[in-house]
Amino acid sequence: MKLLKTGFSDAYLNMGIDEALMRTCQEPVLRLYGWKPHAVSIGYFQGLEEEVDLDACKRHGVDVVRRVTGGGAVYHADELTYSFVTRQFGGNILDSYRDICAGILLGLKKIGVDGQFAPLNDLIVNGKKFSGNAQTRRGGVLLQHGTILLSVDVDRMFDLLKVPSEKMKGKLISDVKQRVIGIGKSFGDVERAVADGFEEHYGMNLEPMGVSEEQLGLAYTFAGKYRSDEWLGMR
Amino acid sequence: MARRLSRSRRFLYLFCLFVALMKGSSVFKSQKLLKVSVEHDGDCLQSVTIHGDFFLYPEDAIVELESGLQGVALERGALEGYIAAFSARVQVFGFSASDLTSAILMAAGKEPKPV
Repeated sequence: MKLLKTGFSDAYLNMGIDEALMRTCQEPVLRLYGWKPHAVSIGYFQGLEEEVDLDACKRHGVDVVRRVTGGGAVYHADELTYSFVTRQFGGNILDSYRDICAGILLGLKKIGVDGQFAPLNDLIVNGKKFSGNAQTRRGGVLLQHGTILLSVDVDRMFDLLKVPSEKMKGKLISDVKQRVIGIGKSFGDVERAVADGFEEHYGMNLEPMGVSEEQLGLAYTFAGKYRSDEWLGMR
Repeated sequence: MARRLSRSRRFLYLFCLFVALMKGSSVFKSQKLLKVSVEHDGDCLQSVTIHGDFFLYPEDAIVELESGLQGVALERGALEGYIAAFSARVQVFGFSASDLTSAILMAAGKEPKPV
């Protein structure tokens, strides 16, 4: 199993690298990364205009990208993001979410975060969500990526995302503040912990890798797709 | 007389246009959130768009679901039957055939929306 640390990239390259890893997957790869500038990602099936205040994102210098995976809109700011690609997975989707998330939970436990898996695709601690995860399967490869929130700025999040009713916005913000939490650890500590957790969970060493020329070329090609209006406004 | 005929024809055209383009939308909270927009002629779906934070594998199958629903009668049995048959061929997480049927019928004004 390989470990790829790509540091901080923009939303389009981040999604491009994930897709390049999926397309070139020979053996399992755990990738750890962050977002610069901050970004909003929406799920494959979400309506762009319904979910995102594009003017507000532009004003705040926040990228907007559509993921290749389903799930909901996410504001990527103070967090560690992981992606995991593998050709070895079972047919049951819930089991595969649970299995991959077990590696994350194991690692975080080592740094004092005793979280649990909350089906279908969340991780919680003390009843509050700190991680959302999303998965796709294409060409015999599973890609799962997810966020681990270090801290949360709910007010900024609601500046960028649309709410069904402005009248309800205050209540929604207060609900989300009750339900979502950052784990209060540093990017570096969580990066090490998640890698350790995967090693222990899968019982194998993570071998550091770089992005190959082929993968980088593909990543930039896919980044172009993710940046395009056609992809972003697809739904 | 000619002017009256023209007016009645215009009325008929507008009426037909209204009937042909009845539109609606709904938001349905299932395990995940469904946001559905429909066009219909009162009896059958003409088009449907299904948005939401659900998961569907393979993802591309959403196009097949949306196009396959065109022409399906706005009746619970017909809609739920079609969606259940579709769901058996793919993997859906976050909503059931019954949930999506409710969302479509609410969008079309055939079932009341939750208050």
